[in-house]
Amino acid sequence: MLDKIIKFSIQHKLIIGLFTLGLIAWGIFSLTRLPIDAVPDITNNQVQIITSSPSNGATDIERFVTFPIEQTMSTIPGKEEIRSFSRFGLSVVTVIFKDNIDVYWARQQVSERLAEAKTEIPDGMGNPELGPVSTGLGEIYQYVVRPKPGYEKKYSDRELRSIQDWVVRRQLLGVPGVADVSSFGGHLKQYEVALNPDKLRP
Amino acid sequence: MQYGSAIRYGAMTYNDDGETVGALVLMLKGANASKVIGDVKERIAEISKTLPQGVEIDPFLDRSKLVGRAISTVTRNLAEGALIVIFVLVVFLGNLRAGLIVASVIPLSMLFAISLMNVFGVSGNLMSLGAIDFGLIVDGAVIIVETVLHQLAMRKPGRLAQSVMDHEVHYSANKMMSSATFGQIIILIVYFPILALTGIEGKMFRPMAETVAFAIIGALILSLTYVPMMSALFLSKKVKHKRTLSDRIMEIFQKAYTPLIHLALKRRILTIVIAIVLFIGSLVTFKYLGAEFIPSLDEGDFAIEMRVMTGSSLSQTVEATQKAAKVLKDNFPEVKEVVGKIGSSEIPTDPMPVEAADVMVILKDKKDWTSASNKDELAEKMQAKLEENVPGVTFGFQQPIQMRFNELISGAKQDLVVKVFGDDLDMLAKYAEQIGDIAQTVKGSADIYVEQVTGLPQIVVHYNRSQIARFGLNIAEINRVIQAGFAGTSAGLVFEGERRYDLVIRLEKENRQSIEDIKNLSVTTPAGIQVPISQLADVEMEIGPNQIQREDTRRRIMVGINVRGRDVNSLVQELQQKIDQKIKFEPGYSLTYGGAFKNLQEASARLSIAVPVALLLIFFLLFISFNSFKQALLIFTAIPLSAIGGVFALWIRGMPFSISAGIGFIALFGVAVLNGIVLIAEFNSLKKSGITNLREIVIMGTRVRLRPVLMTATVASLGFFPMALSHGSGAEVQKPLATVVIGGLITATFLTLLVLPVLYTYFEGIKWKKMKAGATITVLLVLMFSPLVTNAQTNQPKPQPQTLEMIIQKAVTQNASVKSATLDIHKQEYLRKTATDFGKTNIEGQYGQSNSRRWDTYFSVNQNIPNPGLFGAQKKLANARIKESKLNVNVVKNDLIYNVKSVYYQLNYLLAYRQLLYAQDTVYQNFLKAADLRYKTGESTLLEAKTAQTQLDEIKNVAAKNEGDILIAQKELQTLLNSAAPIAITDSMIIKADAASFLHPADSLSSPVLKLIQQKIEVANHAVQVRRAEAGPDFSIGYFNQSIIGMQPVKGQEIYFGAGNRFWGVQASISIPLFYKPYKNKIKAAKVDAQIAQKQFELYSTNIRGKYDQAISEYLKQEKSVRYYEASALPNAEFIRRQAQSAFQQGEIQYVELLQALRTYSEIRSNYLQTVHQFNRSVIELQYLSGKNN
Repeated sequence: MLDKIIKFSIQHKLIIGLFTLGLIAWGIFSLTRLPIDAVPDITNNQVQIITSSPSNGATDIERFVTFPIEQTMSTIPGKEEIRSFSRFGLSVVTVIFKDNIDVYWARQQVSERLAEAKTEIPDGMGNPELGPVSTGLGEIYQYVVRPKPGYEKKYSDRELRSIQDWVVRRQLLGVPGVADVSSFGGHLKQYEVALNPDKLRP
Repeated sequence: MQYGSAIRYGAMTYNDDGETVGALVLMLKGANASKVIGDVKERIAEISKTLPQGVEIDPFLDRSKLVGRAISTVTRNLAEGALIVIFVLVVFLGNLRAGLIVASVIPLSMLFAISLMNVFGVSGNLMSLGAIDFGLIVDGAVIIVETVLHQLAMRKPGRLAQSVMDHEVHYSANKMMSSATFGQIIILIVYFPILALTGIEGKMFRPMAETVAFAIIGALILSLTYVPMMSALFLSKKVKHKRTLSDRIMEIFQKAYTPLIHLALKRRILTIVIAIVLFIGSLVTFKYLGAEFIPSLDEGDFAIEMRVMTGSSLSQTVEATQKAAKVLKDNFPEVKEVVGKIGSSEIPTDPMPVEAADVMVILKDKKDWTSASNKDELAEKMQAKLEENVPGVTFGFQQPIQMRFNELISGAKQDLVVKVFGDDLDMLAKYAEQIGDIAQTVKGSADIYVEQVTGLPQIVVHYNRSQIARFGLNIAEINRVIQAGFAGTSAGLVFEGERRYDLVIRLEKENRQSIEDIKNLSVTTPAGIQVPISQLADVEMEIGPNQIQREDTRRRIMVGINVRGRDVNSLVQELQQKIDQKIKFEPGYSLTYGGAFKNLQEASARLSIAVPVALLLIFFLLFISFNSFKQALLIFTAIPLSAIGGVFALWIRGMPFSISAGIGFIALFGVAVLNGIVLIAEFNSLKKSGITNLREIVIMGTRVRLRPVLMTATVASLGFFPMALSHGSGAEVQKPLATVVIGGLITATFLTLLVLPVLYTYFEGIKWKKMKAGATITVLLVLMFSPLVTNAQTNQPKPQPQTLEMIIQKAVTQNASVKSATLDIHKQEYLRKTATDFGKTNIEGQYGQSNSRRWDTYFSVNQNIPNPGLFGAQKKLANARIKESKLNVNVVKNDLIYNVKSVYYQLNYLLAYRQLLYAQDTVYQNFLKAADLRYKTGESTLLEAKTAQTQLDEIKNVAAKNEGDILIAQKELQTLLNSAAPIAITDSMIIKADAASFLHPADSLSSPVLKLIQQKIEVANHAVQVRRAEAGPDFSIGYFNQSIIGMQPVKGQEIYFGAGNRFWGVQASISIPLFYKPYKNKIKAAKVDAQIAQKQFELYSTNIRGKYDQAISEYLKQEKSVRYYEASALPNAEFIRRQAQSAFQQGEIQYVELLQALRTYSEIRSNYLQTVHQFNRSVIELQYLSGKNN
């Protein structure tokens, strides 16, 4: 068979020439399409469930939030490991799946079970949500938003945060391939009705 | 009513300029990083325009920089590797066009690989593109092109037509395709084990193996299609024979190598002992190398894990971060920016407490560094400075991506993690503390971090349920009030254009500062009374748990350790040992080790199964292709031999063993096995050709295969050279791999060329029972790999039929007459060195009373110098004699080839004749049967039966005689080839010699004999010159030294001169042939010699011209005759035969008539065979006379 291939190649030089040109074209086309990164994405298949619950201590979070979530997740097929993290005001449960499992399928499974878990979490203890479809190596670009020299006084970090949240972040979210933009630092602006308990007393 | 802000879990600082705002852009899983970053940057540029005046976006960590650096390192290494490979190929092949054709396979197979990577979703990065060695990839193409060149070189000089070229290329490519494919498949197989890796190591290294495999497959396809096509089209069709640079280089290698192999064969045991000692030495060295998972990639920036005392507030952490940033900025000019990320971001994918911060230290380019020369040193200096200036804070130095890696692998950010599982937090904390203390005592552990599970001061409200019931309240209601008061409760939304903000109700800031504020907070009862919380509950400040981590639904605490200046594996062992000694765990508590080392262990475990499996597979392939267990084993010895160099190379460069290095070893084994195959295959084919002396086989085989072995090794190792030396970003990962391959190939090549031949002599010396593979398996596998095994078959009992070219080549190398003629060249070469003969030096000493009665001493040294012209003349004479010797070799070769060809064509004729006789035999057998039958039935007389019998006997007799002739011819051939086994030839049908190009009268002048005689005239003329020079004057110079003991007058005084006072002088003399007559006559005699030679030349040239003309006439005559037979006689005979047979079958003619017709047919065929034989004889005569005899 190999013999025939060689014979064919020598006799039909033009066809092999065209085949080579085709290979070059295909290769160059592929080159422009090839995903390029510094290192391979070694991260495992994981889905994070984040629950924010202000004013609760670590033990309460563990008992009322983390434990029910872990409990419902532990029967998901394809699960490899569950890790959790309970801290003052925060619970993060990470469900790690086997590599061959589609991450979107996994998220769907997790959110189905999450509905069940929610019923077991007492009211007011927070609302569990899924983390972004990203990996630990997904933090590809980090930036600060800051006033230019000479404008330091003009912008407080509350305003900068508003700019970040409402101008920068919102537009960045539209970029294809961006899973989320996680704001960091500053003060999240709120309108606050500040009560004075003394004045509330009749 | 005022602007407020939500409770913060994190903050960000910039240098020491205070808090700032920032964000992390998270990429979708599986997206193309460089493309997404490009898009993000574009978008950021757009956004910048829409920002309010005075605000800017400043990226501090941009992955594309690292990607760019890593990819540029890879591309540079690849490009440099490719250039080196091309250069080496051109030098070794000695042919620019051939070099370029092979080199063009590099980009093409690369494009093929990239296309397949795209198809199979392998991304391009440091790992996947990092291990490609073009030297390995083009191996198949090199083999094919080299054979084509070799094949062309065998042809006579001149220009080739395209069709001839096509044929030559096809022939060569076909011959070598099995070896080329086999080699490439072996390289492919060695990469299989890597595909067996799973988990993180799989994700890391599988792309590497996949990409290499794609490239090799591409190269394989190309070397079967593109390479033959290009060779046929673009290789120079002008065949020239001249020594190229590569031939000269090979001569140097050959000169260095020959004495070594002789020595090795002489001291066989010593050679093997040295190899074994080296191997054991490498095993011992390997033990001390240490191991790590993956060499860490230099990202160019630092990420410092900072921890303030547990329970510190956000503002305290911010302050500490600022302090640290200031220290760094002030003391280290390398630092460009310092960004502190404190606590968690809005989307807490990486939840950190507020007392922890990841401080990103963005560094300038390495070339601008002043404080330290490398990363580790800088980290150490920075840490020392920070610990000195910022007390109470721990710092752990890592790199941004590395930190993420570790966290993902083990759930912790450190290199090595010890996890304690159990229920009680206090117990866990106690164990963790103990482990932390032990870790302090282990060398190489740095940045020890013991997880703080407790120690967070918090305000706890203990409800008094009976009181609450008394007021008619419930706990949920009170909770709501406390939460609303302190954390705030959303009461709606406020819109500012598009922007949306929460409207929150909470207490005024000054009313939510202390524990008293909680106590005083009032709750309204259903009855409308306001009750302070202090009446409903005990509010206390308590130290409570800070964070609880769980893994697989069990609580766990961990101790993280970074490893600095030591390999992880040995550190873990030491730590494990110490912990086992010192800590006794209570039931319910257990311990595991995690982190990078675990991956190394897993990967090693997998590889320790997968590598032997792949090696076994290769062994099996070798076994079925060589059909010999011991030869497969022999080739396998190349593997430990190559491992020696790999281990030592790592050791010399001070690198630990890592998965990268492991993959280097895998690639190395492939190449080493290839080299072994090349050598052993050559030994086998030599053995098959009839050489029995193992020593001779080894010496001849290594000489022939030195070039391919060296070329494969050089190309493969030099292709990795840029990688081994590279300092670019990402080079850390490739360096061990490249180092192993280069080091390994150096020893592997060296030892393959010395140890393998020695082992071969041992292995072949022992007569092992020949092992045969189980028949079914063989059949199955032969079916699977049938294209591979065709060439490698060895142990055939029957002599392999050989072509004329092969036979001639063997005759030339093995026949004793050629050997002895060649030896004469050596003799003449030695004699040339005697041309400058000064004669002996005369040293004289005297002791006696020559000057006075005292005893004096006298020494002198005299040297004769012959007439200077003599040296030149003798040298020229010697050169002429060497040339004469060389021409004589040509004459001997020409005679030999003539003889071989005569016998070959004779044999060919006899074989063809045998076939004809067989055919006749069958006819007469049938005839006899028929005649017997007819006689028995009475249809014919006894005469007919007897005739048939006689005819048959006659044929049998002729056949027997013919058989005898065949044997004689074969014996003759065997003698000519100096071979131990009889020789069989490939052509059993009659063949015609190719003669067209010799029919030129002037060709008679190129006869080797004539050339030799012509050279004899030259020699005689030079002899005359020597005689003349001998008649010239000779010279002599000398020096003497003597004592004259006694009183001598010096300046009017008599002074005593003793034996120590020496007198000296020089002397010179000239000897002239005064009696010239003898010299003159000697010259005359020499001149007569020259004349004799001249006359002989004339005589021979006339003779040869005459013979040549005769041969041409003979040739023309036979050629005409052959044409007659082919054009008319043979077809007619065939016609007669067929007609007669059909007529007989239809009963139109009788047996006798049929017999007559068949006899005519046979006669014509037999005559035709004879004519072709005559024709061939005339052709080889012509070839012999013209000397164009190859």
